[in-house]
Amino acid sequence: MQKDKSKKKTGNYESIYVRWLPAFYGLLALLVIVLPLQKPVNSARAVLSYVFIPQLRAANAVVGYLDGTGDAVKNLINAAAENNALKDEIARLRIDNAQTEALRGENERLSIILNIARQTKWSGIWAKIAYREPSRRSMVIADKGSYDGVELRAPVIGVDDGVVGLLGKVIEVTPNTSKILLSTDDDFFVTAFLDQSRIECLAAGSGRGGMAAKYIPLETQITKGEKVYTSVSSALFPDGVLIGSLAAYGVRDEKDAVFISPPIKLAVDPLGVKEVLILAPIPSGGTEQGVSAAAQTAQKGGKK
Amino acid sequence: MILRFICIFAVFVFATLLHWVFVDIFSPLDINVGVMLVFALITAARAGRAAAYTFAFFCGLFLDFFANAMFGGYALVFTLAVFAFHKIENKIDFSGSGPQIVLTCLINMAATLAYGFLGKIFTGVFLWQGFVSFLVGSIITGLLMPVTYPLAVKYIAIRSREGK
Repeated sequence: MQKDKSKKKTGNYESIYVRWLPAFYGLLALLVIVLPLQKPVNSARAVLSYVFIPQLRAANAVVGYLDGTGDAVKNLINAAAENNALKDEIARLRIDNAQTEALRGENERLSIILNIARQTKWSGIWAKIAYREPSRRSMVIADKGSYDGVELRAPVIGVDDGVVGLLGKVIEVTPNTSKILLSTDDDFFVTAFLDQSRIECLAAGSGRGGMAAKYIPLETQITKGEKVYTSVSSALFPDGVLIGSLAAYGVRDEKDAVFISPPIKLAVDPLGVKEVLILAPIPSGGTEQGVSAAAQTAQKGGKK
Repeated sequence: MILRFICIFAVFVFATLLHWVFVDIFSPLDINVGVMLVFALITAARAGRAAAYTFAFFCGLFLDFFANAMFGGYALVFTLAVFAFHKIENKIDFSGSGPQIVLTCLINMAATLAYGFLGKIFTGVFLWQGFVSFLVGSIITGLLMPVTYPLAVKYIAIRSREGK
Protein backbone atom coordinates (compact mmCIF):
# COMPACT_ATOMS: atom_id res chain seq x y z
CA MET A 1 0.00 0.00 0.00
CA GLN A 2 2.82 2.37 1.07
CA LYS A 3 4.82 1.29 -1.96
CA ASP A 4 1.86 2.16 -4.23
CA LYS A 5 1.58 5.58 -2.61
CA SER A 6 5.25 6.35 -3.11
CA LYS A 7 5.03 5.17 -6.75
CA LYS A 8 2.02 7.44 -7.30
CA LYS A 9 3.91 10.35 -5.72
CA THR A 10 6.94 9.76 -8.01
CA GLY A 11 4.58 9.56 -11.00
CA ASN A 12 3.08 12.94 -10.05
CA TYR A 13 6.52 14.54 -9.79
CA GLU A 14 7.41 13.11 -13.21
CA SER A 15 4.18 14.40 -14.69
CA ILE A 16 4.83 17.94 -13.34
CA TYR A 17 8.43 17.79 -14.60
CA VAL A 18 7.34 16.71 -18.10
CA ARG A 19 4.56 19.34 -18.15
CA TRP A 20 7.10 22.12 -17.56
CA LEU A 21 9.73 20.71 -19.92
CA PRO A 22 8.51 22.49 -23.10
CA ALA A 23 8.38 25.77 -21.20
CA PHE A 24 11.91 25.14 -19.90
CA TYR A 25 13.32 24.38 -23.36
CA GLY A 26 11.34 27.25 -24.88
CA LEU A 27 12.76 29.71 -22.35
CA LEU A 28 16.25 28.29 -22.81
CA ALA A 29 15.99 28.75 -26.59
CA LEU A 30 14.68 32.30 -26.16
CA LEU A 31 17.55 33.09 -23.81
CA VAL A 32 20.02 31.78 -26.39
CA ILE A 33 18.39 33.91 -29.12
CA VAL A 34 18.43 37.04 -26.98
CA LEU A 35 22.01 36.60 -25.71
CA PRO A 36 23.89 35.15 -28.69
CA LEU A 37 27.26 36.68 -27.83
CA GLN A 38 27.30 36.07 -24.08
CA LYS A 39 30.10 33.93 -22.67
CA PRO A 40 27.91 30.95 -21.57
CA VAL A 41 26.27 30.78 -25.03
CA ASN A 42 29.66 30.92 -26.77
CA SER A 43 30.97 28.21 -24.43
CA ALA A 44 27.93 26.05 -25.26
CA ARG A 45 28.60 26.56 -28.97
CA ALA A 46 32.22 25.51 -28.46
CA VAL A 47 31.10 22.33 -26.67
CA LEU A 48 28.51 21.61 -29.38
CA SER A 49 31.19 21.92 -32.06
CA TYR A 50 32.87 18.84 -30.58
CA VAL A 51 29.60 16.88 -30.95
CA PHE A 52 28.32 18.16 -34.31
CA ILE A 53 31.42 18.74 -36.41
CA PRO A 54 32.81 15.15 -36.33
CA GLN A 55 29.47 13.91 -37.73
CA LEU A 56 29.60 16.51 -40.45
CA ARG A 57 33.18 15.63 -41.38
CA ALA A 58 32.42 11.90 -41.36
CA ALA A 59 29.37 12.35 -43.60
CA ASN A 60 31.32 14.62 -45.91
CA ALA A 61 34.19 12.12 -46.15
CA VAL A 62 31.85 9.18 -46.88
CA VAL A 63 29.88 11.05 -49.56
CA GLY A 64 33.11 12.44 -51.04
CA TYR A 65 34.60 8.93 -51.18
CA LEU A 66 31.47 7.44 -52.78
CA ASP A 67 31.18 10.39 -55.11
CA GLY A 68 34.70 9.82 -56.40
CA THR A 69 34.51 6.02 -56.76
CA GLY A 70 32.79 6.00 -60.18
CA ASP A 71 35.22 8.55 -61.57
CA ALA A 72 38.19 6.62 -60.16
CA VAL A 73 37.12 3.41 -61.93
CA LYS A 74 36.48 5.28 -65.18
CA ASN A 75 39.87 7.01 -64.91
CA LEU A 76 41.60 3.69 -64.33
CA ILE A 77 40.12 2.31 -67.53
CA ASN A 78 41.16 5.36 -69.54
CA ALA A 79 44.54 5.70 -67.79
CA ALA A 80 46.83 4.62 -70.65
CA ALA A 81 45.27 6.93 -73.24
CA GLU A 82 45.17 9.82 -70.76
CA ASN A 83 48.79 9.21 -69.81
CA ASN A 84 49.97 9.74 -73.38
CA ALA A 85 47.82 12.84 -73.79
CA LEU A 86 49.14 14.25 -70.51
CA LYS A 87 52.76 13.66 -71.54
CA ASP A 88 52.14 15.79 -74.64
CA GLU A 89 50.40 18.39 -72.48
CA ILE A 90 53.35 18.50 -70.03
CA ALA A 91 55.80 19.06 -72.88
CA ARG A 92 53.67 21.92 -74.20
CA LEU A 93 53.26 23.45 -70.72
CA ARG A 94 57.04 23.33 -70.14
CA ILE A 95 57.49 25.56 -73.15
CA ASP A 96 54.68 27.86 -71.99
CA ASN A 97 56.21 27.96 -68.50
CA ALA A 98 59.59 28.99 -69.87
CA GLN A 99 57.89 31.79 -71.83
CA THR A 100 55.89 32.85 -68.76
CA GLU A 101 59.06 33.03 -66.65
CA ALA A 102 60.67 35.25 -69.26
CA LEU A 103 57.57 37.50 -69.35
CA ARG A 104 57.45 37.68 -65.55
CA GLY A 105 61.07 38.76 -65.44
CA GLU A 106 60.38 41.43 -68.05
CA ASN A 107 57.27 42.54 -66.15
CA GLU A 108 59.24 42.88 -62.92
CA ARG A 109 61.96 44.90 -64.62
CA LEU A 110 59.38 47.23 -66.17
CA SER A 111 57.52 47.55 -62.84
CA ILE A 112 60.74 48.65 -61.15
CA ILE A 113 61.47 51.19 -63.93
CA LEU A 114 57.92 52.61 -63.84
CA ASN A 115 57.76 52.44 -60.00
CA ILE A 116 54.54 50.38 -59.98
CA ALA A 117 53.73 48.40 -56.84
CA ARG A 118 53.87 44.72 -57.70
CA GLN A 119 50.84 42.56 -57.11
CA THR A 120 51.51 39.89 -54.52
CA LYS A 121 50.97 36.30 -55.56
CA TRP A 122 47.81 34.72 -54.15
CA SER A 123 48.65 31.91 -51.79
CA GLY A 124 46.45 30.15 -49.33
CA ILE A 125 44.85 26.93 -48.25
CA TRP A 126 42.73 24.78 -50.53
CA ALA A 127 39.56 23.55 -48.82
CA LYS A 128 36.45 21.64 -49.81
CA ILE A 129 32.89 22.78 -49.15
CA ALA A 130 31.59 20.47 -46.44
CA TYR A 131 28.15 21.93 -45.75
CA ARG A 132 25.69 24.38 -47.23
CA GLU A 133 23.21 26.15 -45.01
CA PRO A 134 19.87 25.15 -46.53
CA SER A 135 17.61 27.93 -45.26
CA ARG A 136 19.85 30.78 -46.42
CA ARG A 137 21.94 30.57 -49.57
CA SER A 138 24.54 32.91 -48.18
CA MET A 139 26.81 30.70 -46.13
CA VAL A 140 28.92 27.56 -46.58
CA ILE A 141 31.25 25.63 -44.28
CA ALA A 142 34.70 24.58 -45.52
CA ASP A 143 36.56 21.55 -44.18
CA LYS A 144 39.68 23.47 -43.09
CA GLY A 145 40.00 25.46 -39.87
CA SER A 146 42.45 27.18 -37.56
CA TYR A 147 44.58 24.00 -37.29
CA ASP A 148 45.25 24.34 -41.02
CA GLY A 149 46.05 28.04 -40.74
CA VAL A 150 42.71 29.58 -41.70
CA GLU A 151 42.17 32.97 -40.09
CA LEU A 152 39.12 35.10 -39.41
CA ARG A 153 38.18 37.60 -42.16
CA ALA A 154 40.32 35.74 -44.69
CA PRO A 155 39.27 36.32 -48.32
CA VAL A 156 38.01 33.25 -50.15
CA ILE A 157 38.19 32.68 -53.88
CA GLY A 158 36.63 29.86 -55.85
CA VAL A 159 37.19 28.12 -59.17
CA ASP A 160 34.23 27.37 -61.41
CA ASP A 161 34.76 25.87 -64.87
CA GLY A 162 38.34 27.11 -64.93
CA VAL A 163 37.35 30.70 -63.98
CA VAL A 164 38.84 32.05 -60.76
CA GLY A 165 36.64 34.51 -58.89
CA LEU A 166 35.65 36.01 -55.59
CA LEU A 167 33.53 33.76 -53.37
CA GLY A 168 33.34 35.38 -49.93
CA LYS A 169 35.13 35.81 -46.63
CA VAL A 170 35.65 33.73 -43.49
CA ILE A 171 33.38 34.87 -40.67
CA GLU A 172 33.87 32.09 -38.13
CA VAL A 173 36.73 29.65 -37.55
CA THR A 174 36.77 26.45 -35.50
CA PRO A 175 39.81 24.14 -35.23
CA ASN A 176 38.69 21.99 -38.18
CA THR A 177 36.14 24.04 -40.09
CA SER A 178 35.50 27.60 -41.18
CA LYS A 179 32.25 29.40 -41.97
CA ILE A 180 32.33 31.42 -45.20
CA LEU A 181 29.94 34.30 -45.83
CA LEU A 182 29.24 34.23 -49.56
CA SER A 183 29.48 37.33 -51.70
CA THR A 184 25.72 37.10 -52.42
CA ASP A 185 24.76 37.84 -48.78
CA ASP A 186 23.27 41.27 -48.17
CA ASP A 187 25.87 41.86 -45.41
CA PHE A 188 28.73 41.41 -47.88
CA PHE A 189 30.55 44.43 -49.35
CA VAL A 190 33.78 44.81 -51.27
CA THR A 191 35.36 47.82 -52.93
CA ALA A 192 35.39 47.04 -56.64
CA PHE A 193 36.87 48.41 -59.84
CA LEU A 194 35.21 48.53 -63.26
CA ASP A 195 37.66 47.40 -65.90
CA GLN A 196 36.61 49.63 -68.84
CA SER A 197 34.96 52.60 -67.12
CA ARG A 198 38.01 52.82 -64.79
CA ILE A 199 35.94 53.81 -61.75
CA GLU A 200 35.59 52.41 -58.26
CA CYS A 201 32.28 51.25 -56.83
CA LEU A 202 30.98 49.10 -54.02
CA ALA A 203 30.05 45.54 -54.97
CA ALA A 204 27.38 44.42 -52.52
CA GLY A 205 25.48 41.15 -52.09
CA SER A 206 21.81 41.47 -52.98
CA GLY A 207 20.66 38.72 -50.60
CA ARG A 208 18.81 37.13 -53.54
CA GLY A 209 21.65 35.08 -54.97
CA GLY A 210 23.44 37.89 -56.79
CA MET A 211 25.48 41.08 -56.39
CA ALA A 212 25.14 44.66 -57.55
CA ALA A 213 27.70 47.39 -58.27
CA LYS A 214 26.59 50.31 -56.10
CA TYR A 215 27.44 54.02 -56.00
CA ILE A 216 28.27 54.38 -59.70
CA PRO A 217 27.65 58.03 -60.62
CA LEU A 218 24.66 58.51 -62.90
CA GLU A 219 26.62 60.04 -65.78
CA THR A 220 29.18 57.19 -65.95
CA GLN A 221 29.31 55.46 -69.33
CA ILE A 222 29.31 51.83 -68.31
CA THR A 223 29.40 48.94 -70.75
CA LYS A 224 27.23 45.87 -70.39
CA GLY A 225 29.49 42.87 -69.80
CA GLU A 226 32.49 44.83 -68.54
CA LYS A 227 34.52 43.04 -65.92
CA VAL A 228 34.36 43.92 -62.22
CA TYR A 229 37.47 43.27 -60.10
CA THR A 230 38.30 43.82 -56.44
CA SER A 231 39.92 47.22 -56.02
CA VAL A 232 43.38 48.01 -54.72
CA SER A 233 41.69 50.12 -52.00
CA SER A 234 39.84 47.10 -50.60
CA ALA A 235 40.75 46.55 -46.97
CA LEU A 236 39.98 42.85 -46.91
CA PHE A 237 40.59 41.52 -50.41
CA PRO A 238 43.65 41.47 -52.64
CA ASP A 239 43.22 43.60 -55.74
CA GLY A 240 42.53 42.07 -59.12
CA VAL A 241 40.25 39.24 -58.02
CA LEU A 242 37.52 38.86 -60.61
CA ILE A 243 34.04 39.40 -59.13
CA GLY A 244 32.01 39.10 -62.33
CA SER A 245 30.71 41.23 -65.16
CA LEU A 246 27.99 43.88 -65.36
CA ALA A 247 24.79 42.12 -66.38
CA ALA A 248 22.80 45.24 -67.31
CA TYR A 249 23.11 49.02 -67.50
CA GLY A 250 21.47 49.46 -64.12
CA VAL A 251 18.75 51.62 -62.71
CA ARG A 252 18.75 54.47 -60.25
CA ASP A 253 18.71 53.41 -56.58
CA GLU A 254 15.79 55.77 -55.96
CA LYS A 255 13.82 58.14 -58.17
CA ASP A 256 15.99 61.19 -57.42
CA ALA A 257 19.22 59.27 -56.70
CA VAL A 258 22.53 60.32 -58.25
CA PHE A 259 23.87 56.77 -58.44
CA ILE A 260 23.00 53.66 -60.41
CA SER A 261 23.31 50.05 -59.27
CA PRO A 262 23.76 47.63 -62.17
CA PRO A 263 23.56 43.94 -61.27
CA ILE A 264 26.71 41.83 -61.50
CA LYS A 265 26.79 38.41 -63.17
CA LEU A 266 29.08 36.48 -60.86
CA ALA A 267 32.20 34.83 -62.30
CA VAL A 268 31.93 31.96 -59.83
CA ASP A 269 28.54 30.49 -58.96
CA PRO A 270 28.59 30.24 -55.13
CA LEU A 271 26.08 27.39 -55.20
CA GLY A 272 28.07 25.29 -57.64
CA VAL A 273 31.60 25.68 -56.31
CA LYS A 274 33.05 22.69 -54.45
CA GLU A 275 36.66 23.70 -53.79
CA VAL A 276 37.88 27.05 -52.53
CA LEU A 277 41.18 28.81 -51.88
CA ILE A 278 41.25 30.56 -48.51
CA LEU A 279 43.83 33.35 -48.62
CA ALA A 280 45.65 34.94 -45.72
CA PRO A 281 43.81 38.07 -44.48
CA ILE A 282 45.21 41.49 -45.38
CA PRO A 283 46.71 42.77 -42.10
CA SER A 284 46.00 46.52 -42.13
CA GLY A 285 43.80 49.22 -43.64
CA GLY A 286 40.23 50.43 -43.20
CA THR A 287 37.09 48.42 -43.65
CA GLU A 288 34.64 47.87 -46.51
CA GLN A 289 31.95 49.20 -44.18
CA GLY A 290 33.95 52.41 -43.93
CA VAL A 291 33.95 52.73 -47.71
CA SER A 292 30.23 51.95 -47.73
CA ALA A 293 29.54 54.63 -45.12
CA ALA A 294 31.60 57.17 -47.07
CA ALA A 295 29.71 56.36 -50.26
CA GLN A 296 26.37 56.63 -48.44
CA THR A 297 27.39 60.02 -47.07
CA ALA A 298 28.30 61.07 -50.60
CA GLN A 299 24.89 59.91 -51.81
CA LYS A 300 23.10 61.91 -49.10
CA GLY A 301 25.17 64.93 -50.04
CA GLY A 302 24.27 64.43 -53.68
CA LYS A 303 20.58 64.32 -52.87
CA LYS A 304 20.73 67.60 -51.00
CA MET B 1 18.10 4.09 -19.10
CA ILE B 2 21.64 4.19 -20.57
CA LEU B 3 20.60 1.89 -23.44
CA ARG B 4 17.64 4.17 -24.13
CA PHE B 5 19.92 7.20 -24.23
CA ILE B 6 22.31 5.42 -26.61
CA CYS B 7 19.37 4.49 -28.89
CA ILE B 8 18.13 8.08 -28.99
CA PHE B 9 21.67 9.37 -29.61
CA ALA B 10 22.08 6.84 -32.45
CA VAL B 11 18.85 8.17 -33.98
CA PHE B 12 20.22 11.70 -33.66
CA VAL B 13 23.48 10.77 -35.40
CA PHE B 14 21.56 8.98 -38.17
CA ALA B 15 19.27 12.02 -38.54
CA THR B 16 22.23 14.40 -38.89
CA LEU B 17 23.85 12.17 -41.53
CA LEU B 18 20.58 11.94 -43.50
CA HIS B 19 20.13 15.70 -43.13
CA TRP B 20 23.58 16.23 -44.64
CA VAL B 21 22.77 13.96 -47.60
CA PHE B 22 19.51 15.87 -48.25
CA VAL B 23 21.32 19.19 -47.95
CA ASP B 24 23.87 18.00 -50.48
CA ILE B 25 21.12 17.03 -52.94
CA PHE B 26 18.50 19.76 -52.43
CA SER B 27 20.52 22.79 -51.38
CA PRO B 28 21.68 23.59 -54.95
CA LEU B 29 17.99 23.51 -55.96
CA ASP B 30 17.28 26.00 -53.18
CA ILE B 31 14.94 23.62 -51.38
CA ASN B 32 15.03 23.12 -47.62
CA VAL B 33 13.91 19.64 -46.50
CA GLY B 34 13.10 19.29 -42.79
CA VAL B 35 14.88 16.00 -42.11
CA MET B 36 15.61 16.93 -38.49
CA LEU B 37 11.95 17.87 -37.97
CA VAL B 38 10.87 14.46 -39.29
CA PHE B 39 13.04 12.71 -36.72
CA ALA B 40 11.88 15.05 -33.96
CA LEU B 41 8.27 14.11 -34.78
CA ILE B 42 9.08 10.38 -34.91
CA THR B 43 10.65 10.65 -31.46
CA ALA B 44 7.63 12.63 -30.29
CA ALA B 45 5.30 9.89 -31.54
CA ARG B 46 7.27 6.93 -30.23
CA ALA B 47 9.46 7.93 -27.29
CA GLY B 48 8.53 9.54 -23.96
CA ARG B 49 7.71 13.22 -23.75
CA ALA B 50 10.89 14.16 -21.88
CA ALA B 51 13.02 12.40 -24.49
CA ALA B 52 11.00 13.96 -27.32
CA TYR B 53 11.41 17.54 -26.09
CA THR B 54 15.12 17.07 -25.42
CA PHE B 55 15.61 15.45 -28.82
CA ALA B 56 13.69 18.20 -30.61
CA PHE B 57 15.63 20.92 -28.78
CA PHE B 58 18.98 19.42 -29.77
CA CYS B 59 17.83 18.81 -33.37
CA GLY B 60 16.99 22.50 -33.54
CA LEU B 61 20.28 23.44 -31.92
CA PHE B 62 22.09 21.34 -34.53
CA LEU B 63 20.51 23.40 -37.34
CA ASP B 64 21.17 26.62 -35.42
CA PHE B 65 24.81 25.69 -35.03
CA PHE B 66 25.34 25.65 -38.79
CA ALA B 67 23.06 28.60 -39.56
CA ASN B 68 24.38 32.15 -39.62
CA ALA B 69 21.26 33.83 -38.28
CA MET B 70 19.54 33.70 -34.91
CA PHE B 71 21.24 30.99 -32.84
CA GLY B 72 18.45 29.22 -30.90
CA GLY B 73 15.66 29.94 -33.41
CA TYR B 74 15.28 26.39 -34.70
CA ALA B 75 15.58 25.02 -31.14
CA LEU B 76 12.57 27.12 -30.09
CA VAL B 77 10.56 26.27 -33.22
CA PHE B 78 11.21 22.52 -32.87
CA THR B 79 10.25 22.57 -29.18
CA LEU B 80 6.99 24.32 -30.12
CA ALA B 81 6.42 21.85 -33.01
CA VAL B 82 6.68 18.86 -30.65
CA PHE B 83 4.41 20.64 -28.15
CA ALA B 84 1.81 21.18 -30.90
CA PHE B 85 2.22 17.59 -32.05
CA HIS B 86 1.53 16.27 -28.53
CA LYS B 87 -1.58 18.45 -28.36
CA ILE B 88 -3.10 16.95 -31.53
CA GLU B 89 -1.68 13.43 -31.64
CA ASN B 90 -4.60 11.91 -29.68
CA LYS B 91 -7.04 13.16 -32.32
CA ILE B 92 -5.32 11.43 -35.26
CA ASP B 93 -3.90 8.01 -36.09
CA PHE B 94 -0.26 8.78 -36.73
CA SER B 95 0.61 5.17 -37.64
CA GLY B 96 -1.00 5.50 -41.10
CA SER B 97 0.98 6.88 -44.05
CA GLY B 98 -1.68 9.42 -45.08
CA PRO B 99 -1.92 11.24 -41.75
CA GLN B 100 1.87 11.07 -41.41
CA ILE B 101 2.38 12.87 -44.75
CA VAL B 102 -0.31 15.50 -44.15
CA LEU B 103 0.61 16.26 -40.55
CA THR B 104 4.37 16.38 -41.20
CA CYS B 105 3.85 18.62 -44.23
CA LEU B 106 1.62 21.01 -42.24
CA ILE B 107 3.93 21.09 -39.22
CA ASN B 108 6.91 21.80 -41.51
CA MET B 109 5.01 24.69 -43.10
CA ALA B 110 4.04 26.05 -39.68
CA ALA B 111 7.65 25.65 -38.46
CA THR B 112 9.00 27.51 -41.53
CA LEU B 113 6.57 30.39 -40.97
CA ALA B 114 7.30 30.44 -37.22
CA TYR B 115 11.04 30.61 -37.91
CA GLY B 116 10.45 33.45 -40.35
CA PHE B 117 8.39 35.39 -37.80
CA LEU B 118 11.00 34.78 -35.11
CA GLY B 119 13.56 36.23 -37.48
CA LYS B 120 11.35 39.27 -38.02
CA ILE B 121 11.07 39.77 -34.25
CA PHE B 122 14.70 39.22 -33.28
CA THR B 123 16.71 40.25 -36.36
CA GLY B 124 14.23 42.53 -38.15
CA VAL B 125 14.29 40.35 -41.29
CA PHE B 126 11.64 37.75 -42.16
CA LEU B 127 13.79 34.66 -42.73
CA TRP B 128 12.18 33.31 -45.87
CA GLN B 129 13.62 31.08 -48.56
CA GLY B 130 10.82 31.47 -51.08
CA PHE B 131 7.55 29.80 -51.96
CA VAL B 132 9.18 26.99 -53.95
CA SER B 133 11.19 25.86 -50.95
CA PHE B 134 8.16 26.39 -48.67
CA LEU B 135 5.85 24.20 -50.78
CA VAL B 136 8.18 21.65 -52.38
CA GLY B 137 10.35 21.37 -49.24
CA SER B 138 7.28 20.75 -47.08
CA ILE B 139 5.90 18.14 -49.49
CA ILE B 140 9.23 16.29 -49.61
CA THR B 141 9.42 16.48 -45.81
CA GLY B 142 5.90 15.02 -45.61
CA LEU B 143 6.76 12.21 -48.05
CA LEU B 144 9.92 11.45 -46.09
CA MET B 145 7.94 10.62 -42.95
CA PRO B 146 6.30 7.30 -44.03
CA VAL B 147 9.69 6.14 -45.37
CA THR B 148 11.67 7.09 -42.27
CA TYR B 149 9.08 6.21 -39.63
CA PRO B 150 9.16 2.39 -40.04
CA LEU B 151 12.95 2.46 -40.49
CA ALA B 152 13.42 4.42 -37.30
CA VAL B 153 11.03 2.19 -35.39
CA LYS B 154 12.37 -1.13 -36.74
CA TYR B 155 16.09 -0.66 -37.13
CA ILE B 156 17.05 2.26 -34.96
CA ALA B 157 15.08 0.88 -32.04
CA ILE B 158 12.91 3.76 -30.91
CA ARG B 159 10.67 1.84 -28.60
CA SER B 160 7.08 2.84 -28.01
CA ARG B 161 6.74 4.79 -24.80
CA GLU B 162 5.33 2.92 -21.87
CA GLY B 163 1.97 3.95 -20.42
CA LYS B 164 1.22 6.37 -23.27
